Amino acid sequence: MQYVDEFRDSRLIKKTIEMIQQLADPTVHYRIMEVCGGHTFSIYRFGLHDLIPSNVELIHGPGCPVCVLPMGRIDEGLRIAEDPKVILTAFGDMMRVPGQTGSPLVLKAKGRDIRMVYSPLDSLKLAKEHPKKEVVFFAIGFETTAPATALTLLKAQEWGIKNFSVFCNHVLILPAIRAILDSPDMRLDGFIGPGHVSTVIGCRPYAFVAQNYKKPIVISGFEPLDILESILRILRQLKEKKSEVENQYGRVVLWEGNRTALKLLERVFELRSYFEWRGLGFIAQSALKIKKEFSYWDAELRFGTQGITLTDPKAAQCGEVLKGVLKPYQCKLFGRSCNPEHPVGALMVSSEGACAAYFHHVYQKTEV
Amino acid sequence: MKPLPLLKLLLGIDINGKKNSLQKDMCLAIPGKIVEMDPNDQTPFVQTALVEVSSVRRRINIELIKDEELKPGDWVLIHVGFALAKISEREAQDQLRILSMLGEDKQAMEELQGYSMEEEKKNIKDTILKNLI
Repeated sequence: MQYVDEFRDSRLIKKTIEMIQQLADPTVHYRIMEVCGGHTFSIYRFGLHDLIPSNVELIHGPGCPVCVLPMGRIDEGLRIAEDPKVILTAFGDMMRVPGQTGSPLVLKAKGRDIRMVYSPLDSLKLAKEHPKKEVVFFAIGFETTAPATALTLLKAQEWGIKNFSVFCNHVLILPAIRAILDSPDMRLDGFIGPGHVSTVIGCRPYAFVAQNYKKPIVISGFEPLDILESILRILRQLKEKKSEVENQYGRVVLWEGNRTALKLLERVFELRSYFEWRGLGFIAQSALKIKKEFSYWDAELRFGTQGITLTDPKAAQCGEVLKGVLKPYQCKLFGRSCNPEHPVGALMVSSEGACAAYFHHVYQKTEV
Repeated sequence: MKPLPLLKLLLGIDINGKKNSLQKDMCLAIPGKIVEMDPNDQTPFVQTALVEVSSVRRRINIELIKDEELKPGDWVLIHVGFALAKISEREAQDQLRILSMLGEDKQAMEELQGYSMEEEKKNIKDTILKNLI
């Protein structure tokens, strides 16, 4: 069992598509949101949107951590890196995200010490190796990445590493889903639920989607067969007039989530009263802040942040695309002044951003 | 003429003709197989295992799933250097079995018999190759 090829089995894929065709009522226009950027990436990468009936529309959600980070936070992080003593570390897909003064990569080219790390623990090791430097980890991501940051902070405390701190930008997926559901210009019939976030938080927290908003939500894996099966399950619920939380990704996601990881989050983080999301604005209790016990390692306190709010470039319509109101190609800048080589908006940066995924896998193919 | 996505799917490759590559991005967690467990005698204390992902080996932190009894041969989901969950083979097999029974009726069963996937794959491969030349 390789857990990849089996879920790309063409016979099962064909069959699932046939079942979707049978279940989808041709007179109904279905709107299903895949919340997670990983799903967006898979859908475009495998051309799944072309395999399902055209009246089943997939809307791309806000689940791409790079894309929802507001410009102001990027600039705050980059401002910390202005100090010649500082080594700023970030994940690879953060490197090209444009702040107002340029992206981390641009600043790196100007001589700042900004490095890419694979894991937050690598940043901590870097701090140990460079005792005369200040190592700051630019932490981003949803509940999937937050436990790794939490463990790293715990180790920093345990090992007494003083020249290390975390610029925390961890956000939570549930408040974002709620914001989308409350958004007046959205009509959605169901959700493909985020798979990897759910390995941590489990399936129970999504109950409000099914109970209060009466929408089916199916926690899904990332292989083509996973996503198609999840669409099938959503359509089946809609047909039976049900709205439940289902777990399609049972091989990885436990109903109750990962206790160890949840305890770690509880130990190290608390909720921020509000946090700004790109495209969605300020959402209450939607992000994590480092607890007092670990405040020594909190870069916001160590370097002092100003809470800058910057508006996105006017012409870019990232917000509308993030909320699923516009398709990537309907943005005025798409493929013209905003492309993966020169991203104007963040959705063009990460491969999970709806715009970049669409550009690489659909748009470029049709242009050739 | 470009081959349709479905044909690519049948061949198990993505639109760009890549087989499962190692993703650099942070969000995409990937399955990896534990090759060996590390002795836990390191100071400072970090619990790791050597994990293989598409023939690349890497040390992965396993403290987030320390309650699982991990052993070489187990598959785990890896994300930013951490094992996030243990993958259940039984669940995966159940899922595939249920999917393969979807909408099975007599006629479908007959169609499936004498249906050779390998042959079909080969035909499609030939078609694609022809189109590329």
